[in-house]
Amino acid sequence: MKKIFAVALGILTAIGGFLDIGDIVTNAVVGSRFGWSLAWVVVVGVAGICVFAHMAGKVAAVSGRATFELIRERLGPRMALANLSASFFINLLTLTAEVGGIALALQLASSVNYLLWVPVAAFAVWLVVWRVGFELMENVTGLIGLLLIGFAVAFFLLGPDWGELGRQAAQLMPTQESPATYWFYAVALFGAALTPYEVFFFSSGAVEEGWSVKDLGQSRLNVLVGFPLGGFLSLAIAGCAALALLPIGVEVGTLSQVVLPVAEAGGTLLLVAIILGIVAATFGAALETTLSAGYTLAQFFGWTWGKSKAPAQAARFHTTMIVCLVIGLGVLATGVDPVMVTEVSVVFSAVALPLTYLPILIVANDPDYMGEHVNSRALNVAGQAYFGLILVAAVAAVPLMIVTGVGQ
Amino acid sequence: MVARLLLALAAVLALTGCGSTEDAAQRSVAEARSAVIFAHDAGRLLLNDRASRAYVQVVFDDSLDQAADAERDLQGASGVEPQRVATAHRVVDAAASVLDELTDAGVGTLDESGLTRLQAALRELDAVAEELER
Amino acid sequence: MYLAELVDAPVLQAGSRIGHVVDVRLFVPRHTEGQRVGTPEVFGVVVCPRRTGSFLGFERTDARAPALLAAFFRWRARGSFLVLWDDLAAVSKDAVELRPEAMRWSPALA
Repeated sequence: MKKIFAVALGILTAIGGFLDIGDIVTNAVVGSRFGWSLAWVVVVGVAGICVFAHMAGKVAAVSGRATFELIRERLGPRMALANLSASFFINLLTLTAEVGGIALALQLASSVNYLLWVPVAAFAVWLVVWRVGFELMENVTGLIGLLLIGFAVAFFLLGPDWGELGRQAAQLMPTQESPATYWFYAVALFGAALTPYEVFFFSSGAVEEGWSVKDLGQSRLNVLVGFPLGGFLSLAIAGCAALALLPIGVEVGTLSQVVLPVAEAGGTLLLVAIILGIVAATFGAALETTLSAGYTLAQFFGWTWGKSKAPAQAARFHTTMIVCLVIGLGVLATGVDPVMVTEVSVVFSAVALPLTYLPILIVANDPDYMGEHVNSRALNVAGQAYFGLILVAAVAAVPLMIVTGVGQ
Repeated sequence: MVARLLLALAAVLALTGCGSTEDAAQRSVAEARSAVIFAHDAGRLLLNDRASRAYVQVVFDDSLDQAADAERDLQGASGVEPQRVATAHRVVDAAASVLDELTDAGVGTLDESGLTRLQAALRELDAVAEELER
Repeated sequence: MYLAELVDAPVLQAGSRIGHVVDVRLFVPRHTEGQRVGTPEVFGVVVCPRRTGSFLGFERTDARAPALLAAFFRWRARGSFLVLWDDLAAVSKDAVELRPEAMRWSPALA
């Protein structure tokens, strides 16, 4: 019984933990402009995150080492430093977007301007990172984040026209938008689904929770069941916008507009549930990106790290996180639109993906670390195919962003 | 690596600031139209007791910001095709001022007449959008 | 001088540049119950005709997977060779000079 409970909990938190501000905003924007014609990217992206999160979890459980320790060992200090700088910078951008997301969601609940919520959100994130245990933190945000299932409820209440959605999904390029814009959003959705922090957080978390080889089954289940269900919610978010907004020709530009279809479908109760779900999901993601900032730096420089350590024992780890939160706070205080920060962050995530994914793919094949648990041939075929795709997305991201003026 | 990323980010932010000038009139009308529709639909939900007042207020605030953005875009574009820009300006300004009044009064005071005014603004925007299409 | 400063240094032989240092090989002399102990000694440097950076572990002959990546990184490091420390005529962080008669060994690790 206890075992079943643990398995269910792992899967449920993986669903809630899959979605963050990047997924929510990008899917809604895409749904309102392209309907389900980019749904294939979500499917491809979710399969990709399954492949790599599974590998990262396996590497962490078998070797007991987290991603950036391995990157430093395998790439050598110089290349690893370049990798670290880029990954750290992208993670900071994502962290800023998530804190902005919490503030926007709290604004929806209170109608108090989000700028006043930004410091509250950042402080709350710091407090949890400082005081709350790892598993409690993950379970609470993951479970409340499940309220985002409300998007699926709203989707069905809106009475999906399956014929039309199917037609959109099958049609590769809608005529009313330019190909560059279409591919720009394809890269953005891909970046949102595969955000690098998810992988290094996942592997560092596995080390924090002290996974060993016998936890591999649970890890595989969390990833292979939880993430695809999270992907379904992504499709539901895009679907809501496709049903309610695409036909009347309006585009989503703010978080308040993202949830309007939900209120239309389910009224106040569903609206409140979704807002709470967004607060939890962005809060969870803000915690994960904050911790990831500490993890990457500490693992690279060999500092003591981990939430299980008292702050005084892992002073540099905790200082890094505080500094990152303050930087994110400063960026948001300039009044830059958090939705814009989010859109830019998912595209830059796509740029940084190869930096995180290549070392994982290499180390998962290294018998010195993995012994008999090296990747199977099938996993390597999938891993290499995805790595090729990740490279293409990374190279295309910035040119597409410039050509389309961030998808305008 | 970081320098290159920062440079790309700066370029992107600079680009988003100016946007393309292909057709500012059409884009601004579309933006204002979208702002009015969101406000109208949220207002309808409020009157039907299907959304919280705090949330609907935020939708109105955001719509007002969006309409103001549309106005600003037009001001920047007044040099090109002044005829079209002037046509767009008239309806976008009208929509923005309706949104301004309703938002300032607070959505707590919203009633059917407020929604009717939004519908009227929307009809004008639709008509002008069609005219600009030609 | 730190060993890390050697990495990336140009390699000269008979006055012309033949490549760059991409790796420094160490050797730990004593074994005790499977554990290597003792002070590591510098064994030699790996020279690559191009500035390609690390081999990412693919210099080991048993590192064959994933196949495409292994092939790519081997191809990128083609023409690399190992030179023993005794075959170096001069060492500074600006350049490494090989003796004219220096032997070029395979850089592969078993």
